[in-house]
Order: sequence, then structure tokens, then C-alpha cells
Amino acid sequence: MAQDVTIFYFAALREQMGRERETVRLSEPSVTVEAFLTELRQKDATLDTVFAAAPRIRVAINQTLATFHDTVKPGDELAFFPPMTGG
Amino acid sequence: MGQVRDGPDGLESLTLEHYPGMTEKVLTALADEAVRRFSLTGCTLIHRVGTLPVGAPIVFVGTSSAHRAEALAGTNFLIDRLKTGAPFWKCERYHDGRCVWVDAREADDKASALWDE
Repeated sequence: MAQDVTIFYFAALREQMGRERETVRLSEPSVTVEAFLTELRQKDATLDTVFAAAPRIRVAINQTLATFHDTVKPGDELAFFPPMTGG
Repeated sequence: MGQVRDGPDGLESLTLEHYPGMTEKVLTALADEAVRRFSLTGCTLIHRVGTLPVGAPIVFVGTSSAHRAEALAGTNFLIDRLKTGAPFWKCERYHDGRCVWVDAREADDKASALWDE
């Protein structure tokens, strides 16, 4: 559904969450990542524990690196992951 | 070219996870920025994913320009930026089956930040 947001988890976060993706409905038309995460953490104890224990989590919105102050809109693709270690 | 270094005892291989879609987007943008910023005449960027044994190549960065200084700077820029800016994550696999996620290093963040304009 168009109002839903798809969330991907990668690397250690994916393992800790026990899933690599999920779909969540936005409660408001557009909200900051920070506010959206606060909502998710209230609803999902696993997510709350995982995110509490991993302070340096990064976020991407529609496959572009973003910040927690950026806005999430219906239909967006979100991704949460640990700091990147390529090369 | 960057290879899987021989690490602590028992290190068998490295598994590289990535974010399909974002990976290509980020690497293409990095290559375009390097070409523009260092007046490169050519640029090749290869990054492997999946499980790679110790000694195997992981990443290749190749650049060309009218003068070597730009090509060398462009190469450094690309590797410094992709280490912390491209969506790859390394997991060290040991003979005893353990998989340990590699932590991002502050030194890599600092090296990348040196290229901020």
C-alpha cells in the first residue's frame, strides 16, 4: 500500500532484529525519522532494545544516506544499518 | 587494490554484505565527483561482495589524468570516501565458525572528512 514505509535492516542490525525487512504504516503523512523511530520503539520491544544498544546507527531514505532529522513520507524506502566498513 | 588481510589467528575469510541499489548509486556518484573534482580522464571502481578468502582482492580503484598528481589524489579520495560512505559491511569468519562484524574505525572517518570541501 502506498501509505506504507518499507524498512530494511543490514549487517549486525539485521541479525539483532532477526529480520531483514518489514513494512510499517505511517501514522502521519510525513514525520521525521527520529519521531518515526520513537513510535516504532514504543510498539516493538526488540527494536527498542537493539536501537538502545547501538548508538551509532545510520539511516538511508530511498537509498540515499540521510539523518534522523530528515523526513519520511508514505511509500519511502528506509534503511537502518551500522557504520559502513567497505574497501 | 585492497585485499583481505591475514588477521588474528584462525581468520578464514571475510564476508561483505551490501545494500543493492544504494551501493551502485553511491559508487557512481563518488566516481562522478572524483572525475569532476580531479579532472580525471578515466576512473574504474570495482568492489566485490560475498565471501572472500584471506588474500583475495576486495576493491580496485583505478584513475587516469593528464598529470599523475590528479590521478593519485583521485584514487585516495575514492578509497577514503567509499570506506565510510558506501553501504558495505565486513564480517570476519573464523575456522571455528564465528562471524565477527568489523567495527568502523575512527581513523577511516577522519580520512574521509579530510576530503570535505
